[in-house]
Amino acid sequence: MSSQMHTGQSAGHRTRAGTWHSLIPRKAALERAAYRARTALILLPLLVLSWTPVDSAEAQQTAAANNCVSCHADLDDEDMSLPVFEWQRSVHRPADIYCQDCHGGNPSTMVEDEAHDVEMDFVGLPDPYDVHELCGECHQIQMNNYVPSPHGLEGDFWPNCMDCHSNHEVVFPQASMISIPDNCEDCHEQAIMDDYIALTDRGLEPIVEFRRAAEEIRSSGVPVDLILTQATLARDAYVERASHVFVLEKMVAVVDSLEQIYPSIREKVETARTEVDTRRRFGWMFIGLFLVAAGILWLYRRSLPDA
Amino acid sequence: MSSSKKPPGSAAPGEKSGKTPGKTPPDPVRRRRFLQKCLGALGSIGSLMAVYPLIRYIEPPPEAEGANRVEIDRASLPPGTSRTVIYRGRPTIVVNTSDGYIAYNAVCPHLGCVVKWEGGTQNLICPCHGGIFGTDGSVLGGPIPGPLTAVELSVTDDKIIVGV
Amino acid sequence: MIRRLSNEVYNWLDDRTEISVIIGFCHRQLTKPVPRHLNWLFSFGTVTLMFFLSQAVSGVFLMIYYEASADTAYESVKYIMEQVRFGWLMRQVHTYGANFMIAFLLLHSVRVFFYGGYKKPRELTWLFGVGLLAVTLAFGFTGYLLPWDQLSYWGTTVGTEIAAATPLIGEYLLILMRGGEIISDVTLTRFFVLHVVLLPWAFIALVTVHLVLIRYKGISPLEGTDVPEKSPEELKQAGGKPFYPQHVMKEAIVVLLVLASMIFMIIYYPLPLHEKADPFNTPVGVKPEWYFLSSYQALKYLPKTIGIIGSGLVVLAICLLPFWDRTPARHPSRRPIATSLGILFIVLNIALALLGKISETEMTFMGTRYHFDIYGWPHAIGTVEEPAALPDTGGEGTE
Repeated sequence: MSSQMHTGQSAGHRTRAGTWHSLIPRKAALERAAYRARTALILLPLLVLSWTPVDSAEAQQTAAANNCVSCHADLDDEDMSLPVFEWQRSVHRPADIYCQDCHGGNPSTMVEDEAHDVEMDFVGLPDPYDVHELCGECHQIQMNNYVPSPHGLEGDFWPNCMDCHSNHEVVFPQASMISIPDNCEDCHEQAIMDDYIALTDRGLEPIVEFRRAAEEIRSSGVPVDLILTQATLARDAYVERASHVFVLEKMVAVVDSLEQIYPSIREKVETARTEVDTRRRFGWMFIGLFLVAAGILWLYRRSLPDA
Repeated sequence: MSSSKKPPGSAAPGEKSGKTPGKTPPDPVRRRRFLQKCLGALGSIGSLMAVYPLIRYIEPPPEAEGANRVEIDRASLPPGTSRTVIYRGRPTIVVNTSDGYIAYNAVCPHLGCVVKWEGGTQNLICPCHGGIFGTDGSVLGGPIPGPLTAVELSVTDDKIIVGV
Repeated sequence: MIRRLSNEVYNWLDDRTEISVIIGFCHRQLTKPVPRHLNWLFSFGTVTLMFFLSQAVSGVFLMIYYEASADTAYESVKYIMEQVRFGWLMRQVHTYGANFMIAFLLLHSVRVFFYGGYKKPRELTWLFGVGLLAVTLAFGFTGYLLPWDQLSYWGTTVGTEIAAATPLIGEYLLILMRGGEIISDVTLTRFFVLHVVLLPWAFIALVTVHLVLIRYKGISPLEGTDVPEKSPEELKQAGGKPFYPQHVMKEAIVVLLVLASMIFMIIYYPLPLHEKADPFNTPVGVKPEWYFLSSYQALKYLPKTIGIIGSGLVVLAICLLPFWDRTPARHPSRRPIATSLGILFIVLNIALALLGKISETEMTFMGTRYHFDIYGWPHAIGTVEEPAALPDTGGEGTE
């Protein structure tokens, strides 16, 4: 049960890592068992379909890129295999961010020593002080805000990216991550956390709401492109100026300025909704007309003489 | 249709439905006539309701009228030249005259041809029937019923802005 | 007053065109009695025809704003949906109309099959009906590409790819359909021409013959082909009601109800226009429309050539159905083999379509999340995602 992964700098870290890992074996074992059971199930149809042509070139290519994945998935040590499953479910899988992008090494060989060759820049566990730079290769805005923040240089890079967003799972950012029992308890008190959560909600919830509304309305043909564009602009502004800043005053200023433009977006959403309702009323008029006409035709047919 | 000779057989289902008011015994012929009228009325309402969207559909959509504001680089319009742009869906001629910029709705009030700028005479002329307009839009010659309509125009350091 | 005027017009016309003969003929045709067994199921053909007319009208209106070119097609459809007044309605009526039309055409063919309507002497009616089915499916296939969104672009790519499996001429056929190696501007214009010029006239020609044949031979009786068919007078005596108004009323009621449900679908579940087609970016889980799903799925299980020949044979078998099924019985309960084979065929198609529907999707079932591969088989996510892992674990499972 290694807590190296989280390179605990404090007892708090270790405890958290501990609770984490106590869950891991059960989860992994379950997945493994389910996998075996299902193999039997799958095998029967597979036998039937054994003459099915498989697009082998493509399959082999994926496999070649994933030698880390195929070996590690079968390792008995949960610490070594679980990351594979976590990564497969994460947003990095579809984004084509593979193991070697953070851990280095050679993913195209099946030989253990070659795969883990230090010559090939293999690093088992990235240095916690470097983590923000690894993530920052893609997530530049976040890194730029994080480094000068109280969590960055000032806080000796603690907590780093992984501490909140996890490593292989890559937890999607959400307000609930600003939370005492999970992430912030070592340094902060509940009251200040509540302020942060309230502020984040105030800044971001309207955007979520606008997006959801726009997507709902879109297929009806009422134009929502403007709503979506403005929502995206607002979100980008928030990410660029308020995310990972971790200074309440700066964030309040950003959110206040965003709140200036929200009413106009909200108005557009309402107009679009009204339009959808108008269309529905128009449709119901037709439906009513057709149903009444059908009813009258039915009565008429009944009143016809039996020939 | 032809043989409505069996009133008892046809009246029975009518009584069960009981949808027609009063009138004992219900008369199928009368009822059919009533229902026919209902159908006719519904049919007319229905076709009107169906024709309305069709007519609205072929009307030009609101946004099709074109930009409400057109910007032109001053550099691209040297003195003595003209440019015709689409403003609010209509051709609009912008001229850099010796007295400054002018802009008119380029559609000739006579029969709808588009007027041109003639640098030599400093006039706007209509190529169709010999209409001639001065730089103030007034008619100088030809069978033209009225002057050209001026279009709002403002000038900044590097841009000419047609419209407001 | 109005009556007098219309009488005048009628007489004037009659003096010059003998319109009374035509009207008399039409009246006789309309009031021809139909057999007693005609029920509500016998209105599906009319519903299909009504949808054809509706498609023609809405299609013409869409063409007013539609621009068939790869650069403008998507924008023009978006323009119709978002800017043109009632443009959304026109497009929804057209897209939903296409789906409803195909659905009712399939229901109509199923009805004809089970009532033995294709049997002697109505083989030709059936043949023309199969032709109409083919034309309608071609309508659906060509029309699907026209909005030029991601789904239509890649759906058409996958769809035309099937043709490439035809032995010998496959590649040539593919190039011919696409007008090049990939779906492009050229494909769009040729699909457009097919969709708005060739197919409509083909449909009109076929449906005319189809209807004339039906009127000429009358609705198929339920008795076997060995029993002589009744004349109109005999039908009337046996309790047959006139086509108009009795049966027409039924059909009108069904048409109205179907239209009402279509409008309900339009206002509550509008069919969206997706992202603009991007020839360099294939979205995951590309599938053809539902009416091609079963054959699309069937082809996945079969080697390409066998698949295409097999489906060709199935089509041929359906075309020639009246020529190889020459048993006299028509009533479904008197020809149990045909009936059960028909049910089997339908169930198989529905099952294949459902497999196609769930393939390449994810679903949570009893607390476990499953990924359905291209064959529609479930795999729990995270364990069997890599195809390369399958052969290794296969050995373990057998022990």
